[in-house]
Amino acid sequence: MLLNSKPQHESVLAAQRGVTGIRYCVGLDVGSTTVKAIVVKAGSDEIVWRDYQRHETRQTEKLLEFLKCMETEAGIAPRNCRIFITGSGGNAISSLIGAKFVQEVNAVALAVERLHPEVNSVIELGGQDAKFILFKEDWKSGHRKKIFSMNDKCAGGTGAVIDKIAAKLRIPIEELGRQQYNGIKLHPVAGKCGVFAETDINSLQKQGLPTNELMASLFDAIVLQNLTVLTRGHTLQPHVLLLGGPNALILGMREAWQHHLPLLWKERRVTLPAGMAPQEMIKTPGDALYFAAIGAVEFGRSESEGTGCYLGRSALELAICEGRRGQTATLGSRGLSTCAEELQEFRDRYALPAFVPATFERGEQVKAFIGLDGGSTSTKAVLLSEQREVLAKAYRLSNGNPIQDCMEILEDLRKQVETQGGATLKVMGVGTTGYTKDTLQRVLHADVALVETVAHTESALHFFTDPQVIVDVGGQDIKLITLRDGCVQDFKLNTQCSAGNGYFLQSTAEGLGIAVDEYAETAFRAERMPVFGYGCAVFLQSDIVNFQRQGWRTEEILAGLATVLPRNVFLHVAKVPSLAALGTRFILQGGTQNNLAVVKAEVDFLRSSFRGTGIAPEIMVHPHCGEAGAIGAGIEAIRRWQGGHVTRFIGMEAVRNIRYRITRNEETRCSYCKNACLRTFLDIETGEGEEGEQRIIIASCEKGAAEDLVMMRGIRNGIAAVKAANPNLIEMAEREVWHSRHPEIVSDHLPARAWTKAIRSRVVRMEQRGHLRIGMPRVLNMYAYAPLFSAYFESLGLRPENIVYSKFTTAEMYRTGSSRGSIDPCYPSKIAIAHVHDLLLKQKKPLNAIFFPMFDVLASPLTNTRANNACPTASITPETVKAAFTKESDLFAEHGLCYVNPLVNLSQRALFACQMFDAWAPMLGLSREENERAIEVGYRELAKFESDIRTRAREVLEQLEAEDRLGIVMLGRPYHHDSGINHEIMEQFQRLGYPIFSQSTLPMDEDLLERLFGDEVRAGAIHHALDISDVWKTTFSASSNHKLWAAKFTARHPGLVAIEISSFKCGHDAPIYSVIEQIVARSGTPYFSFKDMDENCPAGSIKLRIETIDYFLRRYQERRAQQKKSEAEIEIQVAEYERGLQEKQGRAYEAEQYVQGE
Amino acid sequence: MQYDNQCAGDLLPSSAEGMAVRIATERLRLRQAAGLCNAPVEHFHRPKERPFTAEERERVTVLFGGFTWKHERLIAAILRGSGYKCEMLPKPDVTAFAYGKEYGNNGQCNPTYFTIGNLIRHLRTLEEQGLSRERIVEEYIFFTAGSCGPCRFGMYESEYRLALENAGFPGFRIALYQAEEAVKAAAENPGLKLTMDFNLGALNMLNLGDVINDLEYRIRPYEVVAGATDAAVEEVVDQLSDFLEKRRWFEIEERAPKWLRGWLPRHKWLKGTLNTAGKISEHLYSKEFADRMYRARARLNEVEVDHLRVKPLVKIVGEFWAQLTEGDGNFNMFAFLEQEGAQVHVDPIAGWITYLLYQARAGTEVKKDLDLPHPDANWWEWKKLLANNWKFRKKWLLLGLSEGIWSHLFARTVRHLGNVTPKLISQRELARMAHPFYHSLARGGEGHLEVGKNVYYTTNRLCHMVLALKPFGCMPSSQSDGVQSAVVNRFSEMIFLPIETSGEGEINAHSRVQMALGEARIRAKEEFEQALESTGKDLAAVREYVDRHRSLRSPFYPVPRSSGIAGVAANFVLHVSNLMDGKARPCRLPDEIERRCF
Repeated sequence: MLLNSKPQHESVLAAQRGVTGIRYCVGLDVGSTTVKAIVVKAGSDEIVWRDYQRHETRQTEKLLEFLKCMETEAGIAPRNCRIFITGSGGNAISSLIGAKFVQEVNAVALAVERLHPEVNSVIELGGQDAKFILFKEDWKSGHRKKIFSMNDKCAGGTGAVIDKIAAKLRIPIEELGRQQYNGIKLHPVAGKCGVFAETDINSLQKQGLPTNELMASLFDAIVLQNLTVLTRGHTLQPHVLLLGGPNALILGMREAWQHHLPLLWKERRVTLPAGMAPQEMIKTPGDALYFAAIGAVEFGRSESEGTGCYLGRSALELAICEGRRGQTATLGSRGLSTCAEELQEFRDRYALPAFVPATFERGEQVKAFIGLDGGSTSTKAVLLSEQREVLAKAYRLSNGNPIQDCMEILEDLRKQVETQGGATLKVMGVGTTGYTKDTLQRVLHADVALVETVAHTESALHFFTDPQVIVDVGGQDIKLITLRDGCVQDFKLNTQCSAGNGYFLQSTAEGLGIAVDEYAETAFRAERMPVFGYGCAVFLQSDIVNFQRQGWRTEEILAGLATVLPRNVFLHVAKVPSLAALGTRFILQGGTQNNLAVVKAEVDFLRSSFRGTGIAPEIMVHPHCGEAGAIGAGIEAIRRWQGGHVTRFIGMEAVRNIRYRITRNEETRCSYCKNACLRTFLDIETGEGEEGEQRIIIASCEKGAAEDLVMMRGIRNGIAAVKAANPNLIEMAEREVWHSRHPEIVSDHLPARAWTKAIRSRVVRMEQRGHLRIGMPRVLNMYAYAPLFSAYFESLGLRPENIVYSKFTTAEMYRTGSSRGSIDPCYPSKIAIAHVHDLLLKQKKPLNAIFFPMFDVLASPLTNTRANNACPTASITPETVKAAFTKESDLFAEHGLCYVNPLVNLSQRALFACQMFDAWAPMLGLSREENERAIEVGYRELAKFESDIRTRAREVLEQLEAEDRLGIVMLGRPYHHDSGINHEIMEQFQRLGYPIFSQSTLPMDEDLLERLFGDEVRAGAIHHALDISDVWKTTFSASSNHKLWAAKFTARHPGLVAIEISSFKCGHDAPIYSVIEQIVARSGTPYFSFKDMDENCPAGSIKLRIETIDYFLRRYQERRAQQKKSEAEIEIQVAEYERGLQEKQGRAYEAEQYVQGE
Repeated sequence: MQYDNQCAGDLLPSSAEGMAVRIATERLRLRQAAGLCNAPVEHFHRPKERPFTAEERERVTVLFGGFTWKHERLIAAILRGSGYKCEMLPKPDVTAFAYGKEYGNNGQCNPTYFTIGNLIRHLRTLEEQGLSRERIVEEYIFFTAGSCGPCRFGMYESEYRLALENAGFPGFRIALYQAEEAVKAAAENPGLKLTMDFNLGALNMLNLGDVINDLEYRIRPYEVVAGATDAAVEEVVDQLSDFLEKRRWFEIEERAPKWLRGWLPRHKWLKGTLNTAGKISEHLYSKEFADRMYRARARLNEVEVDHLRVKPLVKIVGEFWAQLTEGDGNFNMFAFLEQEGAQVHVDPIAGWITYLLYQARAGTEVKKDLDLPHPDANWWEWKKLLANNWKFRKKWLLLGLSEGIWSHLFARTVRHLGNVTPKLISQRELARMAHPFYHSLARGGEGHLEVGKNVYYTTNRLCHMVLALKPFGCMPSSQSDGVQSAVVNRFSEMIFLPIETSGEGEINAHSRVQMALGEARIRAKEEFEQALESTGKDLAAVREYVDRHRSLRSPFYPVPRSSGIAGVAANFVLHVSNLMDGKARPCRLPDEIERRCF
């Protein structure tokens, strides 16, 4: 590649020969979003020229512009200056201008050491990079060691996120810098990822929150994100230097750092230099933007004279004009189409004809139905005739206020009818769907509020015969719905990640100066295109910059991005490795499908996925892609009307006159529970008098929707009644696993005579047992084995009240306690640091020890498994927790307690006894005998606990069978009982009327197992009911094995359905995803999943999934009931038939007897 | 069913059985009419595996991959020498990774995507060349290593099968090196037979591959003529592969004196013992084998090096595959580091074998007091005590012996190939260093190894920087990284950088490496300057001396290490200075030593 090649022309040598006349030294910082440069007089520190500009993804062009300016304004020229270049784009460009590259963190460190020797920590936030440098003095050598860190691949917590949100909130660049943090109300926003942050901001924006609060919340999130992840658990030591664009240019960012760092120092007891306020130790120098460039010059000082001689602009100009084109011709892949004929054929097949609205007669009264889809980024509405024809449709980008959007879009529909020669519109029914469906239903008194997934299904079923897979790609949401015989079988939604959505394509195209309507035409012009990796939208953004640098043109980049979309939809979001298994008739719908380039990419991807199956998929595009959801909602309204329902719609005139007030402040804060959530009150006036007034309360739970205490009590009692009728075994296990089992005391008696020192010492330790306080974190496998440990300690004489557990997991606990972590494993593992933090720092009465065992091998009731290993992430977590609390100083020792984390093997009782003895004998003064007795007690109590919970599960199951209802089995690991990890999803299902089980609470009674597995055991398919070798060969992981067994159990029990829960980065779940799904789904049992769960709780998306699952389960229940009814009727007919046969036979016999008698 | 009566045009069954059949038929008809499913539920069962049998050996090609090209060529030689048809898979790259992601379960660790995708890509290539899918499934088999540890690697056999099925190759066979018994169990006469010749050949292959790989990374950064090392290594690997493939195996019946030949078949035990001893001697200690290694060394010795180049020494640790592969799987990290002016220290596969043996031995130690034949033996019952102790000692000694033999054989290969590459590190030492941070008996992946090596190489000043290559999704490696944050704080001189290799984001990863390498480079430079300064000599004078002595430009010149100095150039300049001052005698090159021996 030319960019990386070393120029071999004569000018290199000439420039190197002429080094004696060096007058200037240039520091260039070519970043992901900006270019910064300084020109320094050689041999001095005097900066004679400097500039900072955004390159708007045209890195090389901007650099050329800078060089021209430096030549004309500062007087640099080949032979008179040396250039040192840094930044993410620096390396590739360096050889073209003769510059020497220095990595940006090294450059910043050099500048800081030179200009601010007093500084101990640096945070530099760039466009897509975040850097952290800690200067740590070694007390032995006096050497200042540098500890570096950079963001890995994710641009979360950087300027890119701020830019994206600011653009979304339409804040001009010049105003962005003035956004504040201090004194502004904050709301929860996820800073982890730009996409998550955007989702949260969307949601808050729709609640009517002001822009400054949203931005302050974002600054807060970004600072916390960097403190948690970027610093890898290190403490930023004062003085702290804040560098980079976002820190230097945005007041609110600086204020957020100045707010959080002093709190951190206080918590971690950092000694601050005397005589200064903490805020003064957090500073942003005037030239904060130029530190990397300054550092590059500083680096140059230590390089030999011939290094970095400026070669002039010619090679760079050549590369921009011609050179790069040559490279791209051979790289990447072919464009979206191979030839014009192929493209034309595609257009003929898939280009949608322009929609022609219906025309009406003068004075005609148009009786129609409205379908309204209040989406996350836009609102869509359709007008349908009684025959379900689309009469008119309207689309509107959301302005952040759903009621206003709704009023405007309905007005638009009305005008489309009533401007046609005085026709009038009579609305016969209204259906709503989308993110805001419930609010709109209540405001408009709409007839139905339909879950989006269902609305899209209804719409596809209306336009197509036997659709099998609906691919709905909207602004932010992606839905993949699979159907069989017109009934929904399964669906997949993007729970958290919005990668692969249309909004990203739209914003990227607009960023490149192409309107979204021109996207497809532009992309089709590309003969070749770069190959993007699919996945997170933020990574795609950085790929775009790299590809532009390599010379790819706008049309080629757009074509490449269109190709990413189907991969993101099917592989990244839906995670379907075999598309042919879903079906063969695909319907593409959702607003993004209006982009023909995307459709082309999808069609090609689907066809290539079917390659080798011998089947060609049928792929069709919905004629009203963008309005499919609205049409579905409208159709449902028609169905109701046809069923005799009379609309309650307030009328178009009332819609025009809606007056509303949104209130969200301290007065609206909920006081019905300790969470004290902020609520939004919508006061709506749609007519005169009290009837036309209503208050809608948008709250995070049902209780919050109550206006007063009486109403709240009513709601609470209702919830309690539903919960009582539908027991939740997960909730029971979650609470009861920590209860004292009050076991038998089996400790030794105090020795009567203490003649030796060892015995005297033992006596002292034995006497202390009654006062010893041991803390255990409520995490990971402790959710399964806490009864064993508590019984062990209590049986040795420790008091139950002295066995202390950390608090239950909450988002707040994670936020405050996890910042010492240095890695990013699965959430159940990450949360452990916060739990130990809670035990260490939040206990009123101090502890003597924290016990956090490392589970190596687990106990399992299953048979014929090859091993029962615990997951290594869970096993090693106690070691990473220890590292987090001992890396800077030993916090355990400072708090006077021991951290005990033995490796334990629960499947070998004798070995486990040895391991516990080794861990606890020094502190408890144990004898081997009493240790073994206590171990026995522990196992006994564990078995009792498991038996108790399974007995109750059996009762619930029997009740379920008797009432012929459905129960849900959560296929998840023991720690998924933790409501802080499962985000209370299962509790929400319980409130919808489903009893809840989990894999570890499923009953294992012989008779039940015989009923479910007996035939297979007798047929020799398995050795035992608890054998899973028929479905899984590599049975090494205990919890995975148990999950597979529970899936088998669920698949064989007619009253149970499965919901799989899995955490993001779960290494032991990933290999069994497909198997679990196949086990459950093959039996015809509904299977749904919530995968990739982590600390982020996307409430909106979860709610949508729950509502959809509930809808499908109810349909499933109806089908079952119908089936049972049919079966009962058939049995009556069969009995009738049997009687008839018997009668005939009787008559025939009599006739025979008669003949014989004759 | 017999109908013996007729009534109103209908046949009536004569027996109760016949009646039941009629009723069942009617029920079936009614159910069908109502649209109810009549078929019993077919629950999911994992697909049956087809065995690979000895009869198929001649027409089935064994595919394998996942190591460096040097190891793989040697493996191919062993397989071919053992009578198998085999093919090496190409080096896994980003395209292979994309295939892996497309057809595998979501959320796998990175090596899986690369290796599974690489296999699928190769099968697709075969298909494009005109082979039908059926023929591919029939005539090819994939051979890979298995595991049963807590790391999910052990579960990936199923993942291979799933991805292959999704990609349109259902029933494609996977053979695991570890689960050879399973292959045997499935077929009476297994296709893959791990004979003594095969196992000893594999042992030689691993050791040769490791040492040549290490030599390549030691020589190339200092080569005077660019490309000379690559050419020499290519030639050496070819020669050794040729030798391993074509060598004749020892068979006692062929080699025994005539008088013994007739006697041997009647004494099977003796025949077996002699045959085994002969094979061991032939494979591991034959003069022919040693000669081949000397020839290889001689060829590599033709590469002239300049040890006065100052280069930061980067020790590579990390997950097994990520630290071994030489392509996109680890962002082409070794080539990048060399391009950035560093010298790379790679890890041998043999170290992994000794780790497994050590872990087994350490695990035995922990369990020594469990499951005793005489748990209640009193102190005076010495026979019982002896029996108790013997049960543990027997296994412990066997494992210790295996570890020792392996280390010895590796050291022997090192010696024959120039004696400049390091011998295997004591696993006990690594465990001791890691244990305060990472429990040395915690299993899964590399366990404590990454921490142990980081501490070992830093405290012994064997490198300037440690780079840990961790694949995305590797559970033990991620946890190890969490522990390293405490390790880094404990050792002030440590420069440690973990890099997550995800298949995407190479530029970012390289940038982060440059970040840490900048610091390591400064350290190497300072170290060299201090060393040079301490000699009081001018670099030009040192260089002139080196130019006059060819042996100092040999890649096998054993530069003595000075205490506390890691860099090759710094150690070299101190040594040359001593030579110039007459304070030291020139070190002997391996060839010279051997000339004396023979």
